[in-house]
Amino acid sequence: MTTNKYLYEISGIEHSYGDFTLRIPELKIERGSAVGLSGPNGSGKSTLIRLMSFLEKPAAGQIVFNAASDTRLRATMMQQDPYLLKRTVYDNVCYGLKVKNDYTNLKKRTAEALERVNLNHKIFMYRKWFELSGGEAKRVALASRLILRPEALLLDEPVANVDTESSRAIINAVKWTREEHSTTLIISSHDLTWLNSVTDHIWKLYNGKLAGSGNANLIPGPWIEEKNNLWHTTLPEGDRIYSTQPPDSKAPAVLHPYDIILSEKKLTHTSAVNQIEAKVNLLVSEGTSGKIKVEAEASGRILSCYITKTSAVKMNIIPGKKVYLIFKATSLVWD
Amino acid sequence: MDFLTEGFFNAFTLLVQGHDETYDAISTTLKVSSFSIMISLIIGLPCGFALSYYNFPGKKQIRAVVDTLLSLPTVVVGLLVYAFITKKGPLGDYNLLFETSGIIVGQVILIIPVVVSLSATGIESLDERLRSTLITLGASPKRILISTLYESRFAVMTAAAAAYGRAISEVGVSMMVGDNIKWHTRTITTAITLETGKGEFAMGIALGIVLLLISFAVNGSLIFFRKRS
Repeated sequence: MTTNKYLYEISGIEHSYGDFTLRIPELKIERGSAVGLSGPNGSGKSTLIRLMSFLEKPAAGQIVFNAASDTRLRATMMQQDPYLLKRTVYDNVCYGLKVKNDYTNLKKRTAEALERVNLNHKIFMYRKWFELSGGEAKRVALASRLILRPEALLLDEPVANVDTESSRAIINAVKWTREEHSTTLIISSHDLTWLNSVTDHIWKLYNGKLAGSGNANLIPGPWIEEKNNLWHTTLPEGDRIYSTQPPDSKAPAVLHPYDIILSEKKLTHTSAVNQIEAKVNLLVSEGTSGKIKVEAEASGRILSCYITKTSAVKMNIIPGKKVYLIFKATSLVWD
Repeated sequence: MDFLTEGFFNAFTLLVQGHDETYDAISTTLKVSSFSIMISLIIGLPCGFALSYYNFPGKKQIRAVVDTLLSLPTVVVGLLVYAFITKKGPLGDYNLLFETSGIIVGQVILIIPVVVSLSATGIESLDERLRSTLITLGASPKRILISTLYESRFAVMTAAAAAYGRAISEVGVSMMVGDNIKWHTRTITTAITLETGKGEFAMGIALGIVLLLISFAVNGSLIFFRKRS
């Protein structure tokens, strides 16, 4: 029997809540991959995760899981603020096994799942649900999903509002389940840096639509027309970004990090109309490629760009340094 | 006041000496109310779950009817059940009239609204994330029902205690359907009514004390389970 390359095949889904509509014309997720979903609040990340967890049926379109829409599902999801059953940690973690009538080595497997999320089973196994901190509760919730060895693990903001220790434990456990059981990971998060560290590919959502992928910067509208066929949007702290004509005034623009030049000074005699002052927040080495990803805060918005290690050393790029992000109006593209 | 003091003294004597007629009324009451509460929980809890968990047309109207039935007069239930199970009634062939089984039918009708309404309120107050959690952990619809009831166990126990309290303390159904037949359908409440009418306070007080003790025991267990959980 040949297995399908794709675990999820989404086509033409539409789902609405009040004025908000999520529209995904097509999205395929490969078996064993780790996919991130990023976007601002209300962009549709949680809605997409709920639909992909089969908690709700889309109003239109279909989500095919494991090459068949009606096979026994092996996808499980952990919510942003997970709910623990009003029972002991043990009963919470092995609940999913019990409902499947799998009673083999329950204690041993529960202890292993707890250790996997860095909770000492001797201390935590018989604690009640109200005897846990927020981070510990999230780790127990993750352990109760890991024990099921799902084909797909969907996590909605898994490290939001948790302590550093819990955050590290969650990352390690998630990476482990992918390596050990080839679990497909679908993770939503605001934190792009974190998401980059655990996923292979990031889809960006904006206003219910897929608006770019990878490390692309998303520049939301509204866009206001200026003269000479230029349009602009205003960043939170007042600076403007100029673009060519958008498809509609609310469309989000995609700005690829490779299209941004990082400079210590403003440039003169250049065709690039966008020269925005920014402060370097973070430098991330991109493996052995010699590239460094720079995250800089420009007028209240984080933008990413790439430089070489040589440039970083030559320009003395360090967190807190003032720089200019330079790019052309034509660098902003529309999906 | 002497007759009251004497009544209390005689009541304790009856209870201590194991007065047959008194203990028969107690036994009949416990038997009838236990069957009633069991049947009501079996029918009422899934109904309460459905009423709170699912959305369907007419849900609000059904809820309003169930809530109204909480104050259903016991004599009205007695009258209706009597009309149905009397020899001329549609269920006359089942010979339920003047039998404990007839009283059980009446009490079930009386207390089902209590179970449905209070359990539905309890389930409604549960965290909305519970459902998605159970589904994502692979629970079947039957498991979702059981786990949801377990999560709202305090509300379910309160519903059961309130319903049991209504069953053991009602007079209307037991009197009209059971006819207060000695050694057969006489319950604590019908016996108290009869003995008080006859001016025999001792047995009435003895049975009243037992009724209060049952209520304390039920509520005491509720508090105990709540603390233990």
